[in-house]
Amino acid sequence: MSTSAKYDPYARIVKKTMDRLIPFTVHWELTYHCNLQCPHCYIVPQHSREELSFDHISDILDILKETGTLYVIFSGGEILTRKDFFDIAGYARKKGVALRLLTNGTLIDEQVADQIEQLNPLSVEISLYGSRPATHDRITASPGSFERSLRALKLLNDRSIRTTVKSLIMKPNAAEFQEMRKFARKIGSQFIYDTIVIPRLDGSMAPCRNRLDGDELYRLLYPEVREKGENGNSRQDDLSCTAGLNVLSISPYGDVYPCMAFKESGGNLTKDSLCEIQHSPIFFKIRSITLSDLRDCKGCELVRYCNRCPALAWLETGDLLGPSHADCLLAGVIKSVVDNKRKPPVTADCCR
Amino acid sequence: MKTEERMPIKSPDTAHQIIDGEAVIITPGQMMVHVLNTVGSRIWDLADGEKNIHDIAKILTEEFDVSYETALEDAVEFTGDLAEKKMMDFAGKGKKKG
Repeated sequence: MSTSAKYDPYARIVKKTMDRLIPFTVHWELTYHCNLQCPHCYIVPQHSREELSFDHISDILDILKETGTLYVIFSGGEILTRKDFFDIAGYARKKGVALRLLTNGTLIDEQVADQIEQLNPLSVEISLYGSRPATHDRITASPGSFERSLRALKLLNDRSIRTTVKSLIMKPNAAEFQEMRKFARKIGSQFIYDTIVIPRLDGSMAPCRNRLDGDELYRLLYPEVREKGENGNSRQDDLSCTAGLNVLSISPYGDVYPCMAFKESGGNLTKDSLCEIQHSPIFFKIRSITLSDLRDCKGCELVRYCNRCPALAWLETGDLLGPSHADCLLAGVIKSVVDNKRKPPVTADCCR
Repeated sequence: MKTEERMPIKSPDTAHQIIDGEAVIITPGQMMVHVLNTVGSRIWDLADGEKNIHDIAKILTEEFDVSYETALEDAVEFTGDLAEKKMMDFAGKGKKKG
């Protein structure tokens, strides 16, 4: 009898979950309330609607467990603004669900860190927008938030909880990118980042004003794109996406989406069954997209460097099948570094 | 307590799911993913802290082409192996047989 951890059996199971529409990973926005005021945030709360109660959430967790969910990512808003957060997370863990917690960390003190330790989460991901307090606090519009997030990282790392420093690299913090990365390494956290600011859910492009332009992206990404080389940067040519296959997203109101960024609901779990939602027209539509449907992308020389996100294309242009300008820009930058057609930037750090 | 009277139960530290009869188990502390084979997955599924190893072995003989002795030996070894890996505990005392 084998109990060994091997990649192949796991990959086979993941494929099975995709083939059978098993929601293996669920991204659940528990609340849209937040104690910070980041201008790049995509969330637009619907104040007239009530967020799901603990009873509703526990019923949904029962259904998800029964249907095949293994991973739940709890995010917000800020998850710790929910008074019943630990009841919810504790219930999920009792059901054998693996948790990833996305938080800004500012509400984590000794006691909360102890409660998180009890949950035994896979990881706690804390947003950090700079290596200097002034940069981070200016972006969150909350003085003191940098120190509180750092305190959270320390409290969690002291308890041997796996932490990730998660950053969104924009014009105001690009110069601190390498410092953030070094800092995360120094405190024993992972570091992950994104360069794509997504539009607000009401269609406003305001958050995107601080996106890096091509030159800034080039300076930022040059070292690691070079390090990975040709093979490390190329992807499959099919631009496939797992949204609505083995991944789905739930809003604080119970609406279910194919993914966190694609906010076209397939139904609501307070009145529709998960099966009905997974077979709704919008889920069917996003699952059925193939490269040949993407009129502007098929044949594009950037395809192999592109991580096209259908949700981003939809948010930017309202067209699920069109190109995403942000993804096109990023793919173009990666290709130009790989092809070595541009001179290296003067410095590896952006905007220094 | 005899070994076969022990009642295995999934460790609360694990995360787990059964997909098409195959158990996927995660031990978050070690960030390890374990995939069990069909018989191992069934034992995992039956490890509810209420059935003892003898009960589990009997169920295995009904569902798989295996003798009681072999099923018992496998179940003892397997649950012991998972307990060593901190993926399984043994609940309470042995169940009294009526």
